[in-house]
Amino acid sequence: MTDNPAAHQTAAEPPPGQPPSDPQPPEHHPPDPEPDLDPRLAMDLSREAAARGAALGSGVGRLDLATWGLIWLIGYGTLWIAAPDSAGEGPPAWAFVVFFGLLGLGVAVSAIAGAKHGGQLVGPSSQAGMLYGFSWAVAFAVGMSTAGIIVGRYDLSGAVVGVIYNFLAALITGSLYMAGSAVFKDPPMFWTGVVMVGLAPIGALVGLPTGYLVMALVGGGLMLGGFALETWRSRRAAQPRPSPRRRPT
Amino acid sequence: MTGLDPVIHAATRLRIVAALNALEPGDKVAFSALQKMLGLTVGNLSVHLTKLEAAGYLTIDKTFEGRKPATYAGLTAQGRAAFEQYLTDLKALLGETP
Repeated sequence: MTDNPAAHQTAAEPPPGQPPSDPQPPEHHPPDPEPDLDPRLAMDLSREAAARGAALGSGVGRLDLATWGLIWLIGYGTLWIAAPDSAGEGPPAWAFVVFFGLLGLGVAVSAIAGAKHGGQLVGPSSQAGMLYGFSWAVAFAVGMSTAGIIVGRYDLSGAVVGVIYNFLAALITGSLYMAGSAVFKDPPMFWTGVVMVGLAPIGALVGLPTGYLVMALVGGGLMLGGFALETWRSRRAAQPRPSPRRRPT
Repeated sequence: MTGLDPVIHAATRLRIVAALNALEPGDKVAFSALQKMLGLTVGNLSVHLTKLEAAGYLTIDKTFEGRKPATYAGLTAQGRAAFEQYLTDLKALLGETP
């Protein structure tokens, strides 16, 4: 590897007619004038840049929290509002159309954001994030299709079917959040997962339609709370710190 | 004279190193993403990356993604160690607990 990035680029010429994906540095570019850097300014610049780097390294976590928090809140909220009060009857078809439409929208947003982020970062965390994303897809596809097989085979009532799907959604989501805390070294993510897993027995105990309300408010609210917490942490990390008081001499 | 590492102790290079140090070891960021993240011009970022690479603090990988060339930069173990030492020295100057 040579010292001049322009030389690297010459060695890796794009095919004719193909625009480069990265901006190309000029052959001889003098550095822009640098400000005088006192230690306090240096520390502030360092913290601000580290927060930006950490935000890039944390992937699409905040976007996912906001997206799925809203989807749980609106989707399960719709099922709860639309469900008749009498037990044994499920919500009308239109409510499920809204619910599954929102789920599809969430999957699309997560996939597009993940693909875009994947182009910015390469290395171990990128690979881990990709495998973690696949684990969501596999767990939900297998879990929900298996539930569908059970429901079809044993001719279960509408209320039982709803409880099973809610139980599975809470269990899978909570388990993957707990596993994700190990992948991304994020302890608050673990406790989010614990609460989500806790929704599984709670939803089964309270039955429907109250279970939909619990999923909307606790599940969706927890993810939106996580989004607010992550946003606050990110902004706080980027803020300059006050100078320590000088000791009297 | 502050005694701080002169390779890192310049505003742009400090921001580059601090941002890259926040990534997981072994991770590399695309040139365009780093440029956007730090709000730098292409030429200025390129000049400072070259200096950091010459000091052994950073590696630059050029590759193709499909038919398009892509450039990625990441800190070396030496670069991470130098930045940790720089932060320790900086905190000592500021009277902060390392």
